[in-house]
Amino acid sequence: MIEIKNITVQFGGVKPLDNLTVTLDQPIVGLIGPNGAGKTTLLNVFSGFVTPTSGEVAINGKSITQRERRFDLNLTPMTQFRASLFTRMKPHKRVSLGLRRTFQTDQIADDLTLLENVQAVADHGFAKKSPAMQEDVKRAIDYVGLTRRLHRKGSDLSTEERHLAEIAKALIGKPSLVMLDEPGAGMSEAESEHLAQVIRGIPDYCGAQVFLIDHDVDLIVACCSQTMVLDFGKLLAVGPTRKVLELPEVRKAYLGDFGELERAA
Amino acid sequence: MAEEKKKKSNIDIPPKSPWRRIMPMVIVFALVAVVLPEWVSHYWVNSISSVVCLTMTAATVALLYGQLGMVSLAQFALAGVGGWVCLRFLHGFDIPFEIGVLLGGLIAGVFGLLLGLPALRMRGLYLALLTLLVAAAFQVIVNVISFPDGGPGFTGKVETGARVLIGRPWLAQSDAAYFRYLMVWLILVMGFLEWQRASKSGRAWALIRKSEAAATAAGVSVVGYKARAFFMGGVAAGLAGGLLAGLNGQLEYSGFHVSQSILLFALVVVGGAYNWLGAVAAGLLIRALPALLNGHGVDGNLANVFFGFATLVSLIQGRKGIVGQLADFFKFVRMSRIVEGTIIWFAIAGLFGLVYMYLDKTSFGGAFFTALVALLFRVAIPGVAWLLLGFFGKPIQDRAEDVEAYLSLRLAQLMAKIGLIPDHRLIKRGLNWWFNGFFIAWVVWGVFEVEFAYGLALVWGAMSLKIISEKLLYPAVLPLRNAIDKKFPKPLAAYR
Ligand SMILES: Nc1ncnc2c1ncn2[C@@H]1O[C@H](COP(=O)(O)OP(=O)(O)OP(=O)(O)O)[C@@H](O)[C@H]1O
Ligand SMILES: [Mg+2]
Repeated sequence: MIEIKNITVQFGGVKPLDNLTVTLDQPIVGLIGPNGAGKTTLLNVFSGFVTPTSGEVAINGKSITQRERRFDLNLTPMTQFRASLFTRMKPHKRVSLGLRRTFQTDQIADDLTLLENVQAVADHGFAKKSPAMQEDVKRAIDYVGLTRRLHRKGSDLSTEERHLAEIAKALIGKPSLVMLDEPGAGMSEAESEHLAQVIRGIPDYCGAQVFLIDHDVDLIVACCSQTMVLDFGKLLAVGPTRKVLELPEVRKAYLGDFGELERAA
Repeated sequence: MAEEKKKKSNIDIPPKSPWRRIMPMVIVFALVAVVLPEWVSHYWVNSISSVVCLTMTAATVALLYGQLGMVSLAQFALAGVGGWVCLRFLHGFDIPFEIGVLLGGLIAGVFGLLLGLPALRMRGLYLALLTLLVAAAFQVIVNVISFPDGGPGFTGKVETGARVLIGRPWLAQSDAAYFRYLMVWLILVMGFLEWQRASKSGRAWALIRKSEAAATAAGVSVVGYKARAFFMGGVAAGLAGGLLAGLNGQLEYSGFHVSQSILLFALVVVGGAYNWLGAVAAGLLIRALPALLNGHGVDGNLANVFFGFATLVSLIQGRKGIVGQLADFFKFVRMSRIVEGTIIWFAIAGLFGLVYMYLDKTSFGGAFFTALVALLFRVAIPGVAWLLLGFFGKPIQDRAEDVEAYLSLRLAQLMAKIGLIPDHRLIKRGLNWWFNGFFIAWVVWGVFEVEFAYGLALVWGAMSLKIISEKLLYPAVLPLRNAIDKKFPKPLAAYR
């Protein structure tokens, strides 16, 4: 469950997120909005690359934005230690919270094989090199359907395969929230279908909640039971996907965009 | 069915384990350690010993540049720090040589880490400038306090009287023994660095190289892994400095000029930063080439001209360095040709080794090695003559190409007229033969003490024998070639 309370992000004069409050509790949540709406910025707040100007985000009940007092005499040292871990965590430590994400541009290292790319994530998700780790890596790659590309170099993977590999990287360890930033960009219809199948299966695969950003409304419809719409940093609508997409203001702000695009094409 | 076939495609062969990846390096170094001191002249044993130390330092530059894209111009200064500390401890306390070297490495590692701290937030030009300033600061400091040579106090500098040299380890008193001792260190240090590259750290560095944000999102501590590289680089450079101090029993402050740091970086780019052989090439270029020139009575500083040229060429040609280009070349050769070539090369080289040893012109190894180099040049670097022409400018190179093309055409026409099979590459080949012969003969003249005429005969002899054997042995090797081709039908690139 993602709880967002009064989040505001300001870069100079731009306000990519403006006093956003929403609770997302469905297993697969969609996020749509026109270009520059602040979608990626919201993801960056989750993963700690952007510090919000104000507000709070809690994931599964744990705040990841709030700064707690480190030295509270009422707490035992162990709780203090845990508290220090879970609040205002350094971005790379958020992985241990189960936060996983992909990027709008895929981040597969060209000179490593697919296996090594995924292994590189597992290296930091587990305490030691263990058979379980190897198992987990293979399982994640198998899940996205890339086993046949196991030992191929990153540079030799197709766009679709790179996107899927990114998802495999996000499934390593024990993820609690998998955030996907436009995984369907540049995919054909058939590839999109496979992708939708992969995304739909993630909650069953590892029990994580999925947060899916995409411009492809069909993909959102196929995957998400709950969808929120952002427009210039403001929450335009949130609710069951079909209902949200039928709202006139959503059609105007977002699908209108597409209508224009279609006309242009 | 097609899918089934694809699955078995040879492209998808699992990567080697880290151990298997460093094996070739260890074997080559071990072989060199055993045989090289037997082959080369006495003057060269000490030169190649300092090549070893420089290779170790170059490996740290390559680590930072190749793995993280960070330009550190201070690695040579860190070697100086290691050497200074090592000398200080060995003069001050009655400790074994190794302890001194290790202390030098450790403290240089700490300095490397300190240097790395600001570097964690910088990159590119700013980092290069910062490290350059550190190297310059080191030069100034060491100019003032100099290296310890047995005197009292912190600086350990003798004001009046004779300098004291530190002793070599008891196992490695002679020059040849000390060279082998250095090779053991080199295997340990570079083996460790290679191991790091092939395992968890290497993968984390690859992610950082791709994008720091993505690495962070994957749980990699970007700061931690950069700091780790700086620490490891500092330790290895420091060890190299201590070992260099042991070579002559002392260090000269004049040897740690800033220009050396810059030169080392440039030569790592020339040699290739992505392969252990690149560091070896850099070490050879920075130490062996000037020594070679000096050995022939030419000013060793002339090498700098060559270095500038070589840096330019390697920057233009994709920054893979000499080694990267050689590797690219071999990628597109088939396995059968490699096996065949290796057998024929070694047979020819062995033959010349025996003949020259029998004639008492040089050692077996000297002739053997020379013949191998001649054969390697023949296939891998056919265009050296043209490359060198480029030194005089592109227009001249182009003009020369035109003249050559015209003459070749005329020659081919002439050949056809008198009933020979026309060969339009005759002139180019002739030039390369001429160049290879004179260049290699000139080099071995110094290194292996082969008289120039005999050197020339050796190079040309090996090259002709290769051509003759190709024609003569073709029917004999055909079954072998076919058998291997069946098993490995693709170029080497497919097998990693
Ligand atoms: N680091 C930053 N500094 C300044 N402005 C930024 C920064 N990051 C994002 N912005 C601005 O914030 C706004 C929202 O950007 P964001 O990347 O979140 O959009 P998005 O919804 O992901 O768009 P797209 O669909 O194109 O990916 C944009 O106007 C962008 O220019
Ligand atoms: Mg975006």
